[in-house]
Amino acid sequence: MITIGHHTCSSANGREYIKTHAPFLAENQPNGKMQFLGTGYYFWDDNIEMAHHWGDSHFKGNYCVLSFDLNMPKEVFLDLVGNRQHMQVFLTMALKIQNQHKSTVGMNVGEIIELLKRFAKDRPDIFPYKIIRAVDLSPKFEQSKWYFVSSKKNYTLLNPRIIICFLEKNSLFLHLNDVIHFSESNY
Amino acid sequence: MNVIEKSLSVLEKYLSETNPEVIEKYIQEVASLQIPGPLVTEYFTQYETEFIYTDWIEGITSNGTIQKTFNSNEISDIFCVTSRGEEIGLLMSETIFITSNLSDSFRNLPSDRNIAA
Repeated sequence: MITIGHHTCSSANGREYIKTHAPFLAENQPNGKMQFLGTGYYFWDDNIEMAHHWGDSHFKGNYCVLSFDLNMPKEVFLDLVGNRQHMQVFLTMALKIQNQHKSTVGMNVGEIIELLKRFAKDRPDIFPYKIIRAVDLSPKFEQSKWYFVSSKKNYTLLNPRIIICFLEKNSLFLHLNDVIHFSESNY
Repeated sequence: MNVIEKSLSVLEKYLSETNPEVIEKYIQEVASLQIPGPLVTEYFTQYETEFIYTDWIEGITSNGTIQKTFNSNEISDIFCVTSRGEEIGLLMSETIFITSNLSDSFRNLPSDRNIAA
């Protein structure tokens, strides 16, 4: 599968540095902030609006948005957006871990992924994935909600936020396409 | 058997054959990623292009929890300063635009600093 990934970063280091070094790693942080899909290089799946919003809200307007061509081969791609089997098996894996190790009950998606990565140090086939994709849903961010029919409350999101996490920076899978925004404002 | 089916199969075998202490060690390693960090000492909001430090320090309790109810029209974003002097965005700020339930907005904070709903 191929898509466009939008990556937002601080513009503090300058355009040339960013072009050479992006994308930048998002790590689980000592202040307890966990990344949604664990440590990795994050992209919005073809979502320039969210890339700008992220830059405004997290980098105080001093940010850069880059577009990457993302190649996601099925052998290394865990797709929690468009692949029902992947979703079901991932859920089953999480439940099996929780059933056998009660201390994992309550772990969130990011933690389960980090745990599976650690299991994979012993048995690589447990988690051979280099790319993970998921929908980032929030009940307070559903402007694109559309009802299927007027008489029912069932709805879909026509512009969901989809995040893609690359576990490693691999030129086989990602290629910088363009710097599409670079701003250095002074607040 | 495809890749995902193999993942599950190998995991099942791994869980049944591996010394539980080894698995528990990994679990603790991951759990430690969520160890609470420094306390929130002050916080401020972003009104469009202007950052305003507020006197809302009264909203911070002795254990670093922020307990302050905001009007949904009052703020567009929240940042805080920790006892380590770090300035961090409070978190997934897009969820803060509607702030009737701040606990969702702070869902990435360590649990002992979450806001009561």
